[in-house]
Amino acid sequence: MKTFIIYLTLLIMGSNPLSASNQDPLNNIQERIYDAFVECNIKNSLTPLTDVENDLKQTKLKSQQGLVEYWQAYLDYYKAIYFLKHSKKKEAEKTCDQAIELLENLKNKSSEDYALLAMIQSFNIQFKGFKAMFISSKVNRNAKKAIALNPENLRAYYVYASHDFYTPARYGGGKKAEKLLLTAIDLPSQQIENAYLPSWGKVETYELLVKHYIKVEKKNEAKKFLKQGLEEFPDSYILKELATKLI
Amino acid sequence: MKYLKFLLLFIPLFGKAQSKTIMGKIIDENGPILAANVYYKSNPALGTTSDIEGFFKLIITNRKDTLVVSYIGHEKLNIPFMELKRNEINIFKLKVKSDVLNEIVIKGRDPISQQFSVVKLNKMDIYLNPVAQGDPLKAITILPASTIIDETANPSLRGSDPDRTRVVLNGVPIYNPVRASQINNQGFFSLFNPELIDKQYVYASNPPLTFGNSSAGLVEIQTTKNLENNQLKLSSTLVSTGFLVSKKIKNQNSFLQVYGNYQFSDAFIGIQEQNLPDLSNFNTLDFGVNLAFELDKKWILNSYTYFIDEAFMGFNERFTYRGPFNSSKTRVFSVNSVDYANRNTYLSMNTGINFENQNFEFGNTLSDQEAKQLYLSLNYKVNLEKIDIQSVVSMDQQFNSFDDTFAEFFYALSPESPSLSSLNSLDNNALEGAIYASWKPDSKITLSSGVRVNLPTKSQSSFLSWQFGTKYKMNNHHSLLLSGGKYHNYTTPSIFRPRYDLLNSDQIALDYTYEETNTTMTSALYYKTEGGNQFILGGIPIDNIQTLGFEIFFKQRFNSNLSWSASYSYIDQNLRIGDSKFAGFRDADYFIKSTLEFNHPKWFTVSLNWIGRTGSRYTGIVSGETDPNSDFFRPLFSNELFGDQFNDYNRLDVNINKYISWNNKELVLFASVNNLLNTQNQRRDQYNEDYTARRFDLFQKRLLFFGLVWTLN
Repeated sequence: MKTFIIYLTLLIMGSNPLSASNQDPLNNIQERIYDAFVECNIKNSLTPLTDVENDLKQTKLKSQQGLVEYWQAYLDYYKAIYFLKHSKKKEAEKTCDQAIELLENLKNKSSEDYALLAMIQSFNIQFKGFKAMFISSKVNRNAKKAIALNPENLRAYYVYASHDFYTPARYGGGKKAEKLLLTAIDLPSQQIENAYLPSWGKVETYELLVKHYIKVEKKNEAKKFLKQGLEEFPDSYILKELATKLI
Repeated sequence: MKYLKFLLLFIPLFGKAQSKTIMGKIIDENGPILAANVYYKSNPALGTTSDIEGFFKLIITNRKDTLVVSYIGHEKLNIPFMELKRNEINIFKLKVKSDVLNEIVIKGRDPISQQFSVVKLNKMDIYLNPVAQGDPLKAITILPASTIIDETANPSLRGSDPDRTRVVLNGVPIYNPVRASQINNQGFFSLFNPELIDKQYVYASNPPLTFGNSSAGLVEIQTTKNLENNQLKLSSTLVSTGFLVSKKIKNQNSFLQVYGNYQFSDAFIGIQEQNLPDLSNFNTLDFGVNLAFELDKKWILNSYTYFIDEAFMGFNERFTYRGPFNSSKTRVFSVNSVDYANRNTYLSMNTGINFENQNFEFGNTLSDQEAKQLYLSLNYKVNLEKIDIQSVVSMDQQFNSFDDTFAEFFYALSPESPSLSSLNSLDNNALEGAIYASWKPDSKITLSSGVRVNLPTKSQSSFLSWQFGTKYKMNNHHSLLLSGGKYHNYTTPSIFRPRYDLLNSDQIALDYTYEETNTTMTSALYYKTEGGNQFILGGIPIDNIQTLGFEIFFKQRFNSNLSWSASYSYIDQNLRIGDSKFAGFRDADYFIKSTLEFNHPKWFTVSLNWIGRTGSRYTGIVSGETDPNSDFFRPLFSNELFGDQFNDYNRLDVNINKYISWNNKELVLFASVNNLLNTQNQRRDQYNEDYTARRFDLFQKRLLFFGLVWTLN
């Protein structure tokens, strides 16, 4: 009887394709990384992110999809932000360099890989002094590749726009951001909901669009997108912060 | 009993689910795919994702619907549920999207031997190189492996003669890759424009046998593969004016680049005549056209054609004669390649043609030379899971003719001295085949090996070149490269040696690299024996040249604005003639290079570059006597070959540039002072009429150079 019960329980568990995946370190990984990052800042310790990283390293993905590498690079990006917040510029730069190398070495890079690569490269520019202008062209190239590979990828447009937004006007920045952000805002975070794949970028797109309109003193537009953003992401701390600037 | 009741509740559900469940496994050519989307076409919200083994299960709610399987970077699959098997695992194989394949095509063009290059430079590295001044070959001179001692850009690597090292452009060797006038440090002085360069690989030792005709090192240049922006560049310097237009034809992979420069000397000489005693005038006109065209996703055509016409007028001094030296050269070469690539195979056909005509006149020497070259190679590369194999067949056909009048007595060079005439036509056809394999058993180790054989034509000797290499990447910071082999090349004919002599070398080298975010350290230990038909002082045959070298390079970046690098090389070089041993031409107790660079995007970039080395060796003239055959005073050389040494070489250069950008325009202003301290570096020994007093001709004195490049995107 006992054996029957175990057998049946296993069968029932096996019939649910997601049941095994729930234990998979890659499941909901984006959320886990972000939560760990928040926890790091509360605890003033890198341990929560390191724990997720250790889980990632345990993943035995046999195929050469580059998914583990993608999330490792994404995690490195948050580690770099943490380091920067704690004035550890060298560690931040080193972590970004590692993430960039990881993504650059990926074979058959997808639109998502290029978008993340461009985002980390863009963040890394602040550490690179004179090389900035050359890295900037790399960011643009990779963002364009991300768009070309998947014109429905909102993160590709967001990264391209973000880089343009933060590039000083004297270096040719600030011209494309609005158009790119307006394209991005109409795209879904994911075409099909998938807990393993990236879905970041939408709230960041709202944030940047509002910032853009505040910058160019189009307050009505800023308010419109802030309202829209808060409807979609009512708990967004950044959007709430921006709301205070528009009052 | 209560357990049984609980379980009975599930049994009907389970049974029902199994009968209406589709099971599947999603794979691509690399194995199972995790996180692929599996959903109903009519209702994408109703779906699931594949697990780590690629498996999924989905309950069928509507058998008339269509199942969609998708994953990023792959073609979507649409299969009606009716066509799927139930109670069996359906296999869904996704294909990589063709636009992703394009990325692989580009990768396929990377050299199979790239792991074994000591340095890989891209366009950005060349522009940022503190000593390059935008010149691709000059960028190499900062490396410890570069042992150039004559202030030209013709690469000399690890103590070897430049004629043993080859420069290859898109798979085709470019002989004499520098301008004839050798006006050092005045803009570009190799034949290559950095805007056209994608990657430049430097093999300081052990040239990959996918290329032939090199017995020292190799510089492999690949032209740019994609163009980001249409661009117009205008440049103006103290010695030149030029333009470059880059224009996309249909996409980033199909584009045209056209450039041209005119070089002139009036202003350059005018402001610093006293420091240019041997220069009267120079003029150079050159044009280049680079076309890349993507025939389809798998076929790429590349065509690069270059024309240069240059003239140089100055003074030269040899033995006891000083007089005008005039030279002119016209050259056109075209390098064309067609590449085909799919996921695992790569095929390329490279062709090259070169025509050049050179004249020079000095004293009683008058030379009119012509050179033609036809090059053809076929390369086939296959990428297996862990092994890459490349096979090559090549034909390198060269024709040279020399219509010369030269001194009857080598020391009597005045126009009035007796001379002889000769007419030489010669040709050499190097037919060779090679196979090269690179095996990567794991992520840390790469092993490679290659062989190259010739099919002798006319009086050529047969030879076999071979090599091996092991690269061990201990971790992200440390790597070791051990390489060795036997190599062959033919000399490039000249007025003094109108022959294609076969040279060889046996080499072994150990290179170590340490790379960290702010620190780079490299070091190398190498030994080589260079043999073949080689001569010194115009005719004394030598058995071989043995070179034992050690080099170390260190670069530290202190912050985002300040960096410092330094290298030290020790070269113990000996010439062997019979049982005798003499110090070699490039023997050096020290060869030190150091660069301090400060850059700030808002202010300027300034770099200080210092080179210090042991003076090179020469065989001095100890006295003179009347030659009864000519009645001229002839020199008597020291018995000890290369027993004399020029003074230690020291030179400090300073470069400064300012980058300004607005809208889509960029302006770079630059200036340099070469040999800032005006050090008197001896280049050549010179004598009075009876050889009783020795003095020295000097390398470049202090020279100022400045200019600007204006870019419109």
